[in-house]
This record gives sequence, structure tokens and C-alpha cells, in this order.
Amino acid sequence: MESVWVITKRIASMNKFTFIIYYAFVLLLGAFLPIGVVSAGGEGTVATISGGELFTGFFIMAIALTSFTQSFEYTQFLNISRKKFFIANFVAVLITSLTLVVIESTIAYLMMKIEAVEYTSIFTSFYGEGSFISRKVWLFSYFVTASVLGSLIGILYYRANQLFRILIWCSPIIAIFASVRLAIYFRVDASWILAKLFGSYGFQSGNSNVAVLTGAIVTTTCLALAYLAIRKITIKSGE
Amino acid sequence: MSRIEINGVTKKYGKTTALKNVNLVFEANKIHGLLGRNGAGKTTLLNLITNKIFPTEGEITVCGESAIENDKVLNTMFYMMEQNIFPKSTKVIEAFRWTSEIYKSFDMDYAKELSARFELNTSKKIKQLSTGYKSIFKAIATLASNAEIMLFDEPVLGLDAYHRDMFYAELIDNYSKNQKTIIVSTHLIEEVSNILEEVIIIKKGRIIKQESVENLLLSSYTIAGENSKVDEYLKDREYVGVNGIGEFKKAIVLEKNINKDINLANKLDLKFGKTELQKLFISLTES
Repeated sequence: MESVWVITKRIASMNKFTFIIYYAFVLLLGAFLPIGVVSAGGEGTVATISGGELFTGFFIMAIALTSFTQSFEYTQFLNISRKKFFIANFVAVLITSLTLVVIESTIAYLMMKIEAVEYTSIFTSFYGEGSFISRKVWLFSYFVTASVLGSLIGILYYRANQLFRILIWCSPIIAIFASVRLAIYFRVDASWILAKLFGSYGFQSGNSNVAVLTGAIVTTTCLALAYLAIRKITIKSGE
Repeated sequence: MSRIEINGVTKKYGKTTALKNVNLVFEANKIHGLLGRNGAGKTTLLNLITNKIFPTEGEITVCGESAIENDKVLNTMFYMMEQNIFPKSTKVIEAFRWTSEIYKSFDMDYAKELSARFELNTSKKIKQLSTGYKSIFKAIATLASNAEIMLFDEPVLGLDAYHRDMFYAELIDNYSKNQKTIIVSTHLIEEVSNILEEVIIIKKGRIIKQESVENLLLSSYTIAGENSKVDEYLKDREYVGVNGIGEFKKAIVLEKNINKDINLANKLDLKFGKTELQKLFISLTES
């Protein structure tokens, strides 16, 4: 277990500079946006900021996707089993997500303190105010799901040959096209699909726990697929 | 006991067979040389031993246990790969620190001392190192790991003659201080021949020879002279390489029980000579 913790720390620390740059940019934006808005619109003008956590989710997914090669090959250099790497990688995802929840909450708190800014979190937009715990659990669940999904795509991409890699890049377009074609073929109402999709994230009911549950199911599925993909993975790159 | 046993191992990549039914034992506490031409299957074999890849058939045991996904066994080995897979933006000293966290017997002082002797700047990032210094970094990490089993895949890649010499001397010194199982895979046979105890020659995915260097060289000799006379001497004898210039030729005779016919050689005016490992290797691996 000791070495799992060591690997976890190393994997988690590999992207610290990327996160520092990202949050430096976010803070700069947070500082200059109100100044810009006030100087353009005059005293009393308010800048509305929303969707920061959503963007961080995409960012953490991209990080998880691109950093797989580096973290996996580091463990292979040190002759560490794939199973141990898999566990350490997931623990690193949990730690990173928890850290990001703290950072995002701090940023949100600071933003709300600025008079010229009207800050609305994504949670509030979808589920209303909610309790402190439900807000943090939802955000944590969102970051974990995004990271695990990113890791899964990273693993599949690493394992894939050139043709399959192109397919992975095109998969969002293929998925949308296939869904539309299937919906037309089976004469399914698109609004029904959207209603089900929104329902699974609790948008209609305003219940964030539904979204957390969906996130847990997606995370578990991605983890199971990632484990199957990683069991016999071999080094692909290197010089 | 850091003994490696390979039983009926075959490795296929699609339709290509990289290794075919390999049966091999690397005895503990010896320096083994894994020799073969490019593409013979040396790296594939090392990758299989260290579980970087999986065999298509057969089984590999290290210290009596399967190495597949076995952290206890994997931690007894340190593999200096030919590829550079350590995070490239990491500094050398940091990489040593990371290694010491996993390999508890890693000797940081020794790593620093070797770095100074090889003039490896430990505050440099790995990506800033030249090919030769990347090899030096990996070699130092391997030597300082103090692992029971050390595997070197083309360890002197990109190294100049001075550093190559230093590396071989250090390898011997390290081994003499603390005996361990060492496998060196290379095609630079002449340089490595003096440090090897056992030699495994691999050709097109098959093991064609496994013997101690001493026995191999003792069981072979060269015979040189006029073409027809050499041919006469070689009649009913096992030989592996014949090189001719004009009317003269030289052959390497390889016999299990050395049976030099000195009288016949004198009568035919032939000359005996010692075999060099490199020449023997070339003869054995000729197509």
C-alpha cells in the first residue's frame, strides 16, 4: 500500500504546473473582467460570471486524457504492475478532484465578494441553492466523472492503432449522427430523449443527487472498461 | 534466489513470430550475455521477463514465481530499457528520487557519485540530455537500484569509447561487491566478452546456444591453411564458419568434446588458433 501512495503522489503532482497556469489565468480573468466591465459601462455596472466549474470539468478531462501516457510509462520504467498503477491513478483522480473542489469553492467565494461581479455557479443554475454538502458532493462527482472519462479515452487512445485513433477523434460526431439516424429509424421523439437525458442529471426535478448517482454509474462503467483495457496494455511510445 | 526460468515461451505479433518455443534458465548470481543480431528477439525476451509484454504461449518464472502483474517479483528486477520512457520534463536528480521511493535498496549516494564520475549533470531535465547521457542516466539508475536482477538492453547506446569502458568497469565492480543476476543484451560482443560468464545466442527468435563463455571458447578453435587441406581436416567434424581468401581458408571448429587432430594438422600443414567470441557469434548467426 505504501508504494501505491507514493505512485499516487507522483501521478497527482505530474500536472501541478498545468493547473497552476490554468488557475493563474482564471484569477487574472476574474480580476480584469470586473475592471473592464466597470470602465466600459461605468459605476454600477455588473459583470455576470457563470460556468467556471463546467469549463474546469472539461479541462480536467483533457488533462486526464493527455497525461495517461506520461504517468503509465513512468510506472513501467519503475517496473510497477498495471493493477497498482490503475489503483494509484484512481486515487490520484480522487485527490485531484477534491483539491479542485476546494479551489473552485474558494474562487466562487472570492468572486461573490466582488461588487462588480454577479457570480452564479452551475449548480445554482440547474438545481437552485441547495445545501453546502450537496453543492460540494455534486462538484466532486462531476470532476471525478470527467477525469475518469478522460482517463478511459486516454487508455483507449494509447492502445489503439492509427485507424482506431481516428475513430476515437471522430466518435462524438459518429455518436451524434448514429443517434439521430436511430431516432429517425425507430421514430423516437428527440424531445423524449432529451427529457430522459436531462432527467438522468436531475435538471427537471432539481435534485442534484440524481446527477451524483448518474455520475457514479458512469464512473463505475468507465473504471470497469478502463481496467479491462489496461490489464494487458504495453508500452507504445518512447524514443 | 534470483533465478529466471523460461518454459516454452512463444511471442507472436500478428503473423510475425518474434520468439518461438524458448526454453531457458538464467542461473542466479551470474552475468549473462544475451547476444543476437538486430531483430533476433533479444528485447522481446527482456520485455517478457519484466512483464512489459505478455507471452503468447509458455510461462516465465522469476525466483520461482510468475512475474505477470506480480509486484513483489517485479520489484526484484530493474530493467534498463533501450526506450526512454521516463517523464522527460523531470530532472535527473528528481528521477533518482522517484526511483528510490519504489526501490528501497536504491543507493542515492552511489547514484550521485556515479553521476559525478560520468559527468552527468543531475540538475538537467531528462529531455535536455543527449542520447549518450540518457543511456548513462538509465545505467546509473539501474546500478544504484541494487535490484537482485539487473537487465540491460543495449546499455552503451550512444556512449563514447571512454564512457563505454567506464560502464563495463563499473558493472564488474558493482557485481563483485554484491553478487546479483545480470543480463546484458547487446550486439557489441567484442567489448562485452570479457565481462560475461554465460552466453545465450539468439537467432530469429530461437536460442541456438547457451553455454558458459569459458566452455564455449574452449570447445572451439580455428584451423587455417590451404583450401583443400582445410576441407580434408573438416571432414566429419562440426564447424560453424569458413572464411576464405584466395587459396587459403580459415574455419571455426566447434566440438562438444574437443578433439584436435594435431598429427593430421601437422601433416596437412594447418595452423590452429583461438576463437574470439565475436567471430564465433558471427559464424553461429550467419544466415
